[in-house]
Amino acid sequence: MGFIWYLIIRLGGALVTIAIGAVFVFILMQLIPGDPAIAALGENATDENVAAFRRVHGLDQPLPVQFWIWLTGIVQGDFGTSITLAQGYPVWDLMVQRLPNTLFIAVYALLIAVVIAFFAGSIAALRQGKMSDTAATSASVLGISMPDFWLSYVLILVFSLGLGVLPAFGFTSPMVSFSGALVNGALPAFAIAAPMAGVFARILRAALLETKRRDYVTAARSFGFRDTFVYMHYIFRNALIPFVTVIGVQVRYLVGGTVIIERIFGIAGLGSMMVDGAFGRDYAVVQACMLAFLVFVLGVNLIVDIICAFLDPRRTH
Amino acid sequence: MSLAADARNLGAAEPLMRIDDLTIRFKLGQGLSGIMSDQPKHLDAVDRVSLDIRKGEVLGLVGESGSGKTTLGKAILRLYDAHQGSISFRGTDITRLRGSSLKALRRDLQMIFQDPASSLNPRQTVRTVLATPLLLHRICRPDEVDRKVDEILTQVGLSPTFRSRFPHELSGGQLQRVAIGRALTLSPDLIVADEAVSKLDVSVRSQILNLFRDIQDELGTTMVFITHDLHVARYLCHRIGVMYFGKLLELGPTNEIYENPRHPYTEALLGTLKPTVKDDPDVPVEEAGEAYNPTGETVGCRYYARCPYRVDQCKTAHPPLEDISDEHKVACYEWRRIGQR
Repeated sequence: MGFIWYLIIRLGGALVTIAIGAVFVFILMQLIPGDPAIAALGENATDENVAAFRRVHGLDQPLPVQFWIWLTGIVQGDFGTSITLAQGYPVWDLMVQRLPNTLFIAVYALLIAVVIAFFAGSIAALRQGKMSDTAATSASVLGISMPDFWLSYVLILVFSLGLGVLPAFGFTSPMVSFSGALVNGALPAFAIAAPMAGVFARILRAALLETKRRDYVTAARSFGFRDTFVYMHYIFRNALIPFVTVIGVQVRYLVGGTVIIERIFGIAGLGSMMVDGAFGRDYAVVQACMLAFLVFVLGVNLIVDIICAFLDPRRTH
Repeated sequence: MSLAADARNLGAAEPLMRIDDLTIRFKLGQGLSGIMSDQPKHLDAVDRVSLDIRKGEVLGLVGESGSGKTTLGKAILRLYDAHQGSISFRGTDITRLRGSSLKALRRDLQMIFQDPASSLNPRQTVRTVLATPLLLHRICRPDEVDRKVDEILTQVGLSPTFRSRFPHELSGGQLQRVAIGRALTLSPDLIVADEAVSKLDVSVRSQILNLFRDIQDELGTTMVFITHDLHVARYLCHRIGVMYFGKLLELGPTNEIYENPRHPYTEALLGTLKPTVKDDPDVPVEEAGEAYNPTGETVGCRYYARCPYRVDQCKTAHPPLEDISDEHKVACYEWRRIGQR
């Protein structure tokens, strides 16, 4: 019962956040200098042509009216029409083509980061002070310190140009070939994952060490519980709470990462679409992409909070 | 019946546990920094301690932090491995037990911790905390667990409605009651209580101390009570052992220790308890000296640097624990000069 209420409150909160986010996204786009009419028609367009363009796309309406038209459209599933990037195309159609690519890379990177952190963090904590701990901790610092765009080029240099095992550019949509997407997405996903894995591993190590020295762990040992039982039920589950929480916090870096990495590796995703849209002053495109990222971040955080609620009775009780 | 009389009666009984020449050694500075430095690589947190724990007694271990009293308590429970020496429990050497015989031993030895907030798993309800050991060691059938849990809760002064609570819903005193209940689940022969009341509010502290006394009167459970608080030790313990940097300095019945301390360190400790002693011009006041460095190469008495009675002999070796009467042991060459007033 408590949990259902918790879920309803969290979902309501997420909807409010999205609504506020939508207002900010809209205002932000209006604040950017530049005119979509000029961007579409060129510097030499006549005043009449510009005025006509603005009338056709509703840009001559007062801002609150423009916002209302955009918002009511979104509620009905209509994200507007691209005005400069792909003139006349519904933004939704563009997103549907590109969303799977970005989602795939983001989830791929998140999984790589979690798996690496899981092993590196656990080994470091279990063998605290030993050589393997020093190695895992140093690798984490290295991961955190390397900028993702720089790491991308190093990866391309080593795996594409040097060893020739993975492609440097281009991407296969997971909708076309899942295994192709796995191979082609390996380098970009790893480039995004490395800094996150470093952060995750350090958090997990610290949490495990902190939990390991708790008295209830000693008590459990003194009852004669098996080591694996103590590790799973008393150490690991409690250490998981800060670990999972930090995943939610780091998701925003995941989004920022995809925007840059998609450009470098030539992936037709939401990130590169948003950058192109911003240069072309294509309001509807940028606003739709930003909203999609917002929903993604909120969605992951909601999942993280639900996992935490299961792990920690204090959240719902 | 006075505590001293208790202690004398207990003296005749065969010890429940005999600690003989026990050393607990910790390795220091592993990893990169350890390889690079030339510091000693170990620390003896408990250094050749011999001690009997008698059936049914409450033995107090007092000393300042770093004296090794907690390490000794945990070593008794086999939570640390002995580097040297042995611990016999009911006549069997337990220092090298492994596997199922170690698990069987765990039933008989339990611990209560200092920090109630850290001593219970935040993910477990009170019922789970108490039921898990009952089920693991098959103390009762699964359908009897709830009745047994209620019984234990009543025993430690909590209502059975506490069953479904999580630790974060309990106060410090209530948490400590649950922790005591958990230690009682397996009806252990020996409970080690490590500073079990020192993190509690003063008002709660006396309640928990009374609970310990009630349990002791009712069940006759042998207890090792580790504390830095001399009031607490005097209230609860039949005998007291004083520790300093891994060494047992003095051991005797509570009254004897308090009325007739024969080690300069015990005297100094009691000086902090009884301010009147300090006013007496004949009694030397503890000098502020550099404390013993446990990782260094120092030989001689651990208390040498701070001792007002020190003589040249004290520099040669740490004094052995010496019987000065039936019940009273002291590790000091100069004990005859101490406490004679």
